[in-house]
Amino acid sequence: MTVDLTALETAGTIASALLTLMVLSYILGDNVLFRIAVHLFVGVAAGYAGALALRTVLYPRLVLPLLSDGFSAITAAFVVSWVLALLLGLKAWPSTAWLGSLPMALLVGVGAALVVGGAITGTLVPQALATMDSLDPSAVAPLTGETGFERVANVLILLIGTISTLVYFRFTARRGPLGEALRSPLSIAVSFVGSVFIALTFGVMYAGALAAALAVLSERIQFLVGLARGLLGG
Amino acid sequence: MTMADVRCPMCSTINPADATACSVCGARLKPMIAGEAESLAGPPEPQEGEAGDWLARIRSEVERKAETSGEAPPRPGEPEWLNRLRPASGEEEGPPEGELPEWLSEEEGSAAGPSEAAPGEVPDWLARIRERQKTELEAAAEEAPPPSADDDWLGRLRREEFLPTEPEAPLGEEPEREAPPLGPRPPSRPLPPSSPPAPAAAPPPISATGPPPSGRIPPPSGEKPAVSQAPPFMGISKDLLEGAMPKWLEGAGPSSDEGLPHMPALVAEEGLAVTPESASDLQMGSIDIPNWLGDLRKDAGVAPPDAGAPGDSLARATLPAWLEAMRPMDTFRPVVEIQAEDAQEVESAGPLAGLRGVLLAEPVVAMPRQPSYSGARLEVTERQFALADLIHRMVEQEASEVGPKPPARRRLPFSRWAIAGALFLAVALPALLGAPSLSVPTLVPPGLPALITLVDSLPGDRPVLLVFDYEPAYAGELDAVAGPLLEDLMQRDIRLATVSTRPSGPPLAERLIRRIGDAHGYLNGQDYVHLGYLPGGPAAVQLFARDPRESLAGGFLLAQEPTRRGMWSTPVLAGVQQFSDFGAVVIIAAGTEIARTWVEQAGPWTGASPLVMVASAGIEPLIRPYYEALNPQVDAVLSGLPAAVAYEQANGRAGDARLLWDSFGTGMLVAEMALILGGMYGAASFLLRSGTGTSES
Repeated sequence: MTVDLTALETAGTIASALLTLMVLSYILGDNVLFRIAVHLFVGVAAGYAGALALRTVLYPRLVLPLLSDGFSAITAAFVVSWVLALLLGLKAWPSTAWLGSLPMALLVGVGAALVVGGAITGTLVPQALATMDSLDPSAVAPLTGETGFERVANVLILLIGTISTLVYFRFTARRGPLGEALRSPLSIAVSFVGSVFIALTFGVMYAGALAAALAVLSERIQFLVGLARGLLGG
Repeated sequence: MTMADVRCPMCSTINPADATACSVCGARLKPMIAGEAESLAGPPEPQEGEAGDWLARIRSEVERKAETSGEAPPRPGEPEWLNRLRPASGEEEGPPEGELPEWLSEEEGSAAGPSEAAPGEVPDWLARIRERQKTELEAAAEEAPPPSADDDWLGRLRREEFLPTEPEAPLGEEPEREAPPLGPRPPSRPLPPSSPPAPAAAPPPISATGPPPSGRIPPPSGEKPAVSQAPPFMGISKDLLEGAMPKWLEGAGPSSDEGLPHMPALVAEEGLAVTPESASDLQMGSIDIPNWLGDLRKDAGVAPPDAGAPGDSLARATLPAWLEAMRPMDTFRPVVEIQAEDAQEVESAGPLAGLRGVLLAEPVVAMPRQPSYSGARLEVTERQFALADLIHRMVEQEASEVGPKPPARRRLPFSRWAIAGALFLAVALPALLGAPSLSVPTLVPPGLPALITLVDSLPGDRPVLLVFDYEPAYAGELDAVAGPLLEDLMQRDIRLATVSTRPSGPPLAERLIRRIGDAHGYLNGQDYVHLGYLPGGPAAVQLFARDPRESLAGGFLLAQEPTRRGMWSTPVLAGVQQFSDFGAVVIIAAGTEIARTWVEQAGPWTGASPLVMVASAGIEPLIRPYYEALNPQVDAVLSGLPAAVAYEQANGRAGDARLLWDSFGTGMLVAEMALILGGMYGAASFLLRSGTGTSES
């Protein structure tokens, strides 16, 4: 990996290397360098997001139509957008923050409705149907091409894993004399199998996260090594 | 109110003294006495000079009859029935002086009376009286005219007022009722409580012990009947009516109190209270009771008081256990005490106004009483007891003082430094020394051939949409993973359009495309275009999938000034009117949420265009279900550095993934070794702790 040491990019590369080292200093424990790097990242990200929203959202949506089309651009949707934007801006002051509840409620309500609706139609129903279809040993996965014993084994693992995981998240049980939950031995055994599947899933996710982190670490180490070679003329 | 005014007993209204009825409620203000009752019930007294003809005629007839028979005319004011009574002749005045009938002269058996005397033993004078009365009754029955309202109105009034339940006797029996024989009298109405005792306090003969005969109005309280008005049929001598002791009674008992047992007064005199001690002096057995009273008590079935019988021989009343438990002993203690008569208040209103000692109108339940503590026993179940104990222990723990924490011993993180040093060394050695060089993976990931086939089948005239939804922190991994795919697309001269729901997405896209596209001559605005930042989260994703041209306001790093329509006029997006017009949608995501959002919100709008997921290795297990289903929602998945290296090998061109592969491989080796060593250390520690615990126990 070569580093182009032009004037601006050289400064940027050096700053990037310093910030990388400051973050990696957390290995020694919480320190000032790490905190400076974190605060710098948060500030830069927020400033950049604000500038980007102003340039790519507010200006093109609320100002540019008036500049380009004049008063003909004022429509009902345009006025509503302005009113909602102003009300949302009033949340910056505590005394007028309550006026921003209306656009916030609109945003949260629409977002929640979309998330729930999308989860049902895009994940819950299709995944349930896919799980039921996967139980057919004769069916052949179009993308993986599993057939024969491999398919049957996958179907069994899928069936056991799904049922045991669902049983593990069953939180209803009969109440004992002292208020404790009484579950049948079969339910306890199936829940244990489900917990094993859940542990395997978490293990795989952790392995993936570790692999991703190692990839990032490798990239940063190689960046630092390349920078050092460039600075040292190697 | 003056002393002469009268208060109405019904409504307490003050009325004048001469008023007879209340002016408000009409209640009678003056008590009704016998004389007034007769005057009210009978016809109105005619005024002087206004007497009717009937009354004048009767008076003239009476006076004429009296003149002819030598009798005195009736005195005005006397009842007519009294005037009609014949004065007793000499032979009807009773037995001759000094001669008493046997039944009366007998000292015992007085209750039987003369009725038990044999008919043959009736004296001559009494027989004559009865015979003459019988003949007169028969004659009167034959000559009696039908009753008229003039001469018999008082008798009928009496029958109607005072004998409502008694059947009306035939006319022939009327004289017998007015002049009953001396035999046993029928049971009659008792004397009213207010009637004073008989003039002779001593027990009268049996014929006089009973109340007056039915139909007779008792004299008003406090009035004594005049001796001259006493009817002769009662057989009471004049001396008896005047209060003198009869002869037969003079011999029956001592005339003075000497020798009589002392009987304390049951009713205390003024200023003296009757105490139980004084009342105990009353010994009923020592009282000499007349024979006639003793016989009456025998007839009534009243047992004489026995000194040792009462109370002791009776069994104490017992209540059932359940009823005894319900008995409110402490709750309903008697709180109403009966005060002395003088201390009792006088009722001031209502129909009982003026009376003393009236029961309180306030109900007993409303009066103050002791509170009830019954039923306060709490029944606690086992579970409640356990919970209470738990809460008790928690409160005790909270209440207990927590001592200051001892200062933690500062320990250097040697193990963390060792692992970090090993990882740094393993990752840096390949970059510094070029060794060790690890071989590329020989096993191709299962989904990679399908992805390569899919990219090969993409149409060249339709741009591919690249969604850069990851943070800069993941750029080191995802740039290397997405690099081979971009390399493949650029080798096929496929136009690219980028969009991102994160503010940092467009710069990352520009950085990656420029770094890879320089080798393929890709230019911004001609071969690729940045649609920019898509704010709004899931709503914006769905809106963008519905109508891409209306959802985005401006692009990023456009060659011209950003306008709403400007970027869509570039040759890159020519022909793109809707979401499905893109040749493929490639989502480069580092998080599960954003990847699922694109699948859920934009998946239905992709149409025939394939949806490819380039994901970080950490989210691959959660993306696989969308890909490995029989009806997949994701058409291809590219995840992890090994898959990227395999893709680069398939492309025949080494890229960033291959450069990172050695460092990544050695780092993974060190990490796995660290995990294994850490697991072994943990297991050994557990075994050692468990062994120590077992030996100690």
